[in-house]
Amino acid sequence: MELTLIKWLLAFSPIAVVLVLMIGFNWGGGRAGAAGWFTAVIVSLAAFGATPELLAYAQVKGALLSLNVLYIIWAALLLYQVVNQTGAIEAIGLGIERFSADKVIQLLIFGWVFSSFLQGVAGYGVPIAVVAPLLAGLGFSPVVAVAVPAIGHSWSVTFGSMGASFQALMAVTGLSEGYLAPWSALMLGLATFLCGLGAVHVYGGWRLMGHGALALAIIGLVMAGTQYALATSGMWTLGGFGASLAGLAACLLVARLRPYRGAPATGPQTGMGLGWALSAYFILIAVVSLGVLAPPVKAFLGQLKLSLMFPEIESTAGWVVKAGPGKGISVFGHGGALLAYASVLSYLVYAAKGFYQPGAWRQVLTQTIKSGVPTSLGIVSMVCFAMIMDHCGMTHLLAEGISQVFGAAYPFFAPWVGLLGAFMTGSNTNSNVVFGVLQQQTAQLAGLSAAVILAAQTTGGALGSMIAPAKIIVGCSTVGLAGKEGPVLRATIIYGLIITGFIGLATLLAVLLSPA
Amino acid sequence: MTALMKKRAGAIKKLSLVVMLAAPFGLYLAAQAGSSSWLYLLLGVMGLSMLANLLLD
Repeated sequence: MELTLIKWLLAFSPIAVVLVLMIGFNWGGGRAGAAGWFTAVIVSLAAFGATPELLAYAQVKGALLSLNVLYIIWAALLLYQVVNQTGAIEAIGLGIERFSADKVIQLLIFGWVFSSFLQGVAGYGVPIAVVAPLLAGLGFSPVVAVAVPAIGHSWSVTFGSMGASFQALMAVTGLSEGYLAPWSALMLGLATFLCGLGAVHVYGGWRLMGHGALALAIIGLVMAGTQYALATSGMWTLGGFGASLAGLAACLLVARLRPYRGAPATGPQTGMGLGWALSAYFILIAVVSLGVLAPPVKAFLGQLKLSLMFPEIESTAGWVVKAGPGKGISVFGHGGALLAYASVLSYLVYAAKGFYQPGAWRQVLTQTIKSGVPTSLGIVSMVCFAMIMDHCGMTHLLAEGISQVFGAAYPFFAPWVGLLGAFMTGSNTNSNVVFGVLQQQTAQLAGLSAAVILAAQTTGGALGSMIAPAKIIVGCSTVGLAGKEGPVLRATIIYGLIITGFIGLATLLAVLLSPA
Repeated sequence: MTALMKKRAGAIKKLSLVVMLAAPFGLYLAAQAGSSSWLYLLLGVMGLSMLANLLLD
């Protein structure tokens, strides 16, 4: 497919429409996604050789991908409502406030470390969906409550979710973990500190960054170091999980240091202790750890998998999408299923302890549906238009244009390509699948280290989590900002661009240090 | 927007979500069977669902 400025601008138009409507006009994700979908359909038919058959298969793949994401989201919303109906969110807020009255420490524990832990064990928007209401309960504004975990957890996405995104990168490029892991862990390690800094800055600006510097340095060093050690020693599947677990332990120590100790806050008591309030999350950790880390359980739950086979698809412009299976859904072993088990168990525990009012289950279901529908509409429309762009070669053309225009400065822009992919699909994994080979080939043609460029790709893809509308929509739905995602996106996009800029500079330096 | 209109808009949005997730599987069957009439019909249904999503705030 020939690359021209007009074609590049046309390929960019669906993304531009979504950006302008969400950021400029404060449209919600559902409406903006639908506008992006119509733009993608019209442009793909008019300029990229889309056929009805191509559009049909793109929509089927989009629906499968959406169902994978929605499974997690609906289950996460269910868990949240199961917890919320007991008054536990308020109790957690008060409990943490008493444990450490320091707002920066509270922010770092929840928004940076706990959200990363959730990314390590679940992912797919769960960190934002779970942590945003917890921060709102601590008194942070709804916009900050969503923006902080969105920024804070991004560093852990590649090696989180049991390393799914890193696995995708290895699969599409055919390169080994030994070759890819060191540079990827180094760049994501740098992102660890930058995401922590961003999370504090979005709340309190430069003033609080000085106050939080020691905590950021200690916790960041522990998490980045643990991630590097696990990733480079063959245990990359546990990279995000292990790093954030070590980070949680570090938080307990840091909270006792002189600058952060202070007088514990005294506030109203609730009828529920912190332990019982957090019990649903302990159950979540136990269920997810068992479902992911215990091979017999994982094998047992993974027996029923739904998938569809797709034929080779070719646009009239000559863009070919190879034949293969679509994104499969493991009905009982999926992350969403594990969250659902945790929700049911938590409900039973809370009900046995008498924490619910009569008829609470009806409220749980009603509230879950109320927040789930607008969220789902946004995600389905976004993913469907991203699939159209992918199947017509529009996404590839965008990346190709970036790589050709920037020439020798390409390493600086490599993470931006990853960021673009994650922004569009809401997934580091999809970004790596779509752009991994392109980045690898570009690096080889330019005589650059593929390990460095692919590390930049996956780091950019991870950072894209903080600006991906699909994920922002999830967080907003849990703090009463459904349909008002624009202000949050406006807040996170600045940090996403700045941190990606730093990663770009690090990539430029790295290609000098590591020749091909 | 009155309460009744809001209720109707909510119901249409729920329906459009179901259609947006279900119609693609009909599209898959239509594409596999080579039935272009079903393909156009279901693509139109997808488009209507997206339109409802776009117009109902």
